[in-house]
Amino acid sequence: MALLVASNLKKNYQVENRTIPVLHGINLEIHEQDFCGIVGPSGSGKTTLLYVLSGLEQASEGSVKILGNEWSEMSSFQIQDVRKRQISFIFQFYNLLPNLTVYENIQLPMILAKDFDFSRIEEVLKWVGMDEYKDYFPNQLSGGMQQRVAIARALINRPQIIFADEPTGNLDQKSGSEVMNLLKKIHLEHNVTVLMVTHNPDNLKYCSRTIKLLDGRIQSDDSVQV
Amino acid sequence: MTPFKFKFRHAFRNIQSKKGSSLIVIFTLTILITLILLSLSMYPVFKQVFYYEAKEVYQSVDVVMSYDENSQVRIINKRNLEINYATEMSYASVFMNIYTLLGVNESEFYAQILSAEPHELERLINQDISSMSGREMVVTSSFAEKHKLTIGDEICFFASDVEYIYSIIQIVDDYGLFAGETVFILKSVFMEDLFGLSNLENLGNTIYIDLLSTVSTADFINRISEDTDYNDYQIVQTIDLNEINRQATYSASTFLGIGVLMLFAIVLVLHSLFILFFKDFPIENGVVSSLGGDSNYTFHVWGLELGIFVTLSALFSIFMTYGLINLGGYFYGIHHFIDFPLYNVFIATAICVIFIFFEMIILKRRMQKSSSIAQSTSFRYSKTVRKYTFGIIVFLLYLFFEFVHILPTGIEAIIQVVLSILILFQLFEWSIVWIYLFIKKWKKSSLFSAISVRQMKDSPFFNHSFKVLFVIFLITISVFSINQFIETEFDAFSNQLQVDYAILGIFDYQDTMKDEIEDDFDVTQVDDAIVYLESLMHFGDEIRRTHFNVSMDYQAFLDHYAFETTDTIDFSISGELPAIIIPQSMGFIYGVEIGDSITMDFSREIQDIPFVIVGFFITNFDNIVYTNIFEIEDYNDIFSVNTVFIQSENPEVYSDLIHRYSLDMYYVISMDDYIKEYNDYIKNINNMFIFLCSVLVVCFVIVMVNNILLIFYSMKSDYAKMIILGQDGKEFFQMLLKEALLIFSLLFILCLGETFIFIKYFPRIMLVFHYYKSIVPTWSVLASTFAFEALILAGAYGYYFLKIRKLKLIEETKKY
Repeated sequence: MALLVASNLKKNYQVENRTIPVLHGINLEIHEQDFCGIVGPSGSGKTTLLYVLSGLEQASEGSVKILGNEWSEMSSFQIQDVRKRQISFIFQFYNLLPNLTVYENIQLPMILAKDFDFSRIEEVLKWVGMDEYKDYFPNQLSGGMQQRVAIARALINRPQIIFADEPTGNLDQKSGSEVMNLLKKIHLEHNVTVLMVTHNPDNLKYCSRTIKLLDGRIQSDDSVQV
Repeated sequence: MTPFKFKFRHAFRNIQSKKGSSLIVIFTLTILITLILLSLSMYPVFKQVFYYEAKEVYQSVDVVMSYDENSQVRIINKRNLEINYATEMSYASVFMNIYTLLGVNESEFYAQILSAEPHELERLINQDISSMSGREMVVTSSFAEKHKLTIGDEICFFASDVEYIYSIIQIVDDYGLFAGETVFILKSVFMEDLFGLSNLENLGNTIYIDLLSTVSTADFINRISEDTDYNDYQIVQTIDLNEINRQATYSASTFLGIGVLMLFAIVLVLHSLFILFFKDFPIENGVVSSLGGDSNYTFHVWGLELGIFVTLSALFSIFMTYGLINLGGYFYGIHHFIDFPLYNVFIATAICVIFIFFEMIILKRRMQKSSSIAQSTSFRYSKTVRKYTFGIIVFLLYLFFEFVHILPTGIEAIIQVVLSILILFQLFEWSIVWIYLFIKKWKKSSLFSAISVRQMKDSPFFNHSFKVLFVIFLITISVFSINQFIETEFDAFSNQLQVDYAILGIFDYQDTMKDEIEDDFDVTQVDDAIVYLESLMHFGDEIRRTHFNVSMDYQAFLDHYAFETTDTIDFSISGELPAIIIPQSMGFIYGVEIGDSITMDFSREIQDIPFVIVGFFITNFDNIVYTNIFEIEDYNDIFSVNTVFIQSENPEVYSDLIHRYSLDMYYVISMDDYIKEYNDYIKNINNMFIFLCSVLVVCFVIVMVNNILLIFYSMKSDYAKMIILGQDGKEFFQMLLKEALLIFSLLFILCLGETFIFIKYFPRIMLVFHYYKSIVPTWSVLASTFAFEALILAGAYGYYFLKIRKLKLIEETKKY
């Protein structure tokens, strides 16, 4: 079943008085159980594609259907609801709130979703191996640890899709492997679809599908048996 | 955990994490709320000051009855008062008081003699007085100290050329009516010396009356004014609320004049504070938005933070305001607790909150236009937006109000000042762009050209901080100018004053008196006049009390008061009505012109006399008016000469005149002493004003330093990166030095320009608050202000430099 369907997706940016096209009519389907890696050289439009597919940015043309609903037809309330309960994000720079502790950072999406069963936080923290650091602030942790917290935060509301933007881009090889293993574990144990932008070819070995972008167009879309 | 608790904790964590800027926000908000609170409370505070001032003098006395200076009746009998009003009074003490010369050894000095029975003085001053007999005297401690007197010393005074010697038996602390150059003696002995009669205990020239608390003072005065036994006397309420209101308006107005600038500064400070405070807001909002939260979550969290800041600041500002006004009251000489309406705290806080609320709404609308990703990455690098069209519109509006006058003068002046400041803000922004382009083209690249000048051009933090500094400079110049004006105002008036002595209250004037003075004393000019003190002028519905109301030959008047006039005086324009010349400031305040009519009340009996304004005096002493009523036949029966003005180069004439005339109960005054006394009184009020203004300057100096630190807080992560890249302390020092010099030069040029505009409009702005003074800063004031500001700027930048040296590099580069 296709969770995400993009049709003739175009995205332009306006820089001063110039229009810069980034995506040129992308057609794409992401299915349940996909662990999809998006690769391509810098400026090929990978991150833009991820943001448009996840609804963080609006498409200039074309449409994106997520879980059967068109992003552009959803009210802001519906968009928020999808973000609260059905999708999650992992960013290269973690995007943790620096003034909240690890525990509170994970608690935040639950508060926003009005889900007050906080016992799950301990469970998720244990699962990502950060249960001993729950009272730490992000700037007291290493990059790898911060990304594990970000993964725990992404997981807490049991999403169907996780969008990951260069999740290992800021980490060393060891930490990067740990993060990728966690993502794989999430994918397998929690049946979560993962859509990941990456620069690192090593990360593709965790993916069941690889989409290569070049100049805003899909160059190849290969499914691999991992 | 409920969402509210979570948000509250989040807010608390945010405050905890940015202790430095949180403290700045709380401190600045406290200062701003205090300043608004002071401005709002200035009028009620001055009202209390004047109320307590009267209260401290008169204590329990509600009414003072004494002889009218222009009446022949000089002695009052209290017997009927005690019989007919016994149920209304707690007591009525009759005193015999005169001003006369006293002598100790070889020296003579002018003092007030109070005389009554000791228990009557005790009632007035709440202190025990020794039992007295014969020629014994009690003196005030300040009097004893000034003339180096101790118990047992002898003091003499003259009555009808007979010398009477009194010995000091007690020295008591100055209190209420018994203060300063005042002595107390037994009335029975004094009356016998003066009139050669005994058993005159019911007689005197002043009665102090304490009414029962159930009796209305105004009703009592009305009744007694109609009593044929007492209606020839002057009956005064010790605490005249109407007069207190007038004085409070007068005293609060200059402060409120600066308040207009202050309000402008407060808006700017709040705006720059808001930029600092909400610096990380879009980033946090972007993160929350990616988690599915709407902007309400972030607004609630930040709203709670602001709520905490505002609550703390409001509380601190209450203590600060109480401290400041009571310290100000102390400088004025008030020993009572001065209060202010607490609801003003809510108004002052609401003004700040409403402004911040509007800022939040604007920010929210702005954020709705950008995606969460854009918010979380780009806001920190947002640039100053230059609004050229806005600058042109403001300039056109300024020109419009310069040539078209459709609004009241005061309001137009406020608008013009605000517009001129906005024009200079635009000029500043353009200057920075020109400087940037110049440096880019002609100067070799340096840290200053690469970082400082670019920052000045692009950073909204810098832009707003500069504007705050600009307005603070202006406020400081205004405060310094007003202080200098206060210092020199009376010298200017003294130079205009040619008269040396005046004999007032001559109720039985004969033409021979003038000849007598010319013949018997070493004088150069003597002129008689009709002088009324404290007459009331009616400008339509508005009432103004004027201290001196003089009527005499106009040329002789100008000989004694060398005032210039705005136009050539033509008395004929008043027709058959009497003419009046008033100070120019009164004309501005009450909007009257030559040819307009006003009326005046001279005393209880002489009221509603019409006058036509025939000219204006140019003087800062706005408590004197001239009329030609002495030559109007219709009024010859009402007004008669009661004053003689004397010019003399011999200082001994003063004591000679007192010897001759004081026991006739005329007042002999030295104009120099009078002006000095009046100056001291005004200076007393001004001490409070200067204190409050100094507080204002100190507050704004702190805000100024804060604003320079705001630039630092906005730049510190960039500085951290630069240090990591290898920039050393010397290079930073040079960069900051050049930056501070450039800022100071721009401030100097723009503030100097604005000062000349502000000077033009400042007196007109004060008109809004019913006050007018022509205040012009001198070059020395400007130089000292700029030197002062340069020092503050140097100190602030020095601190800035130290902060850069102490940057925690890793922490700064790790954030977001």
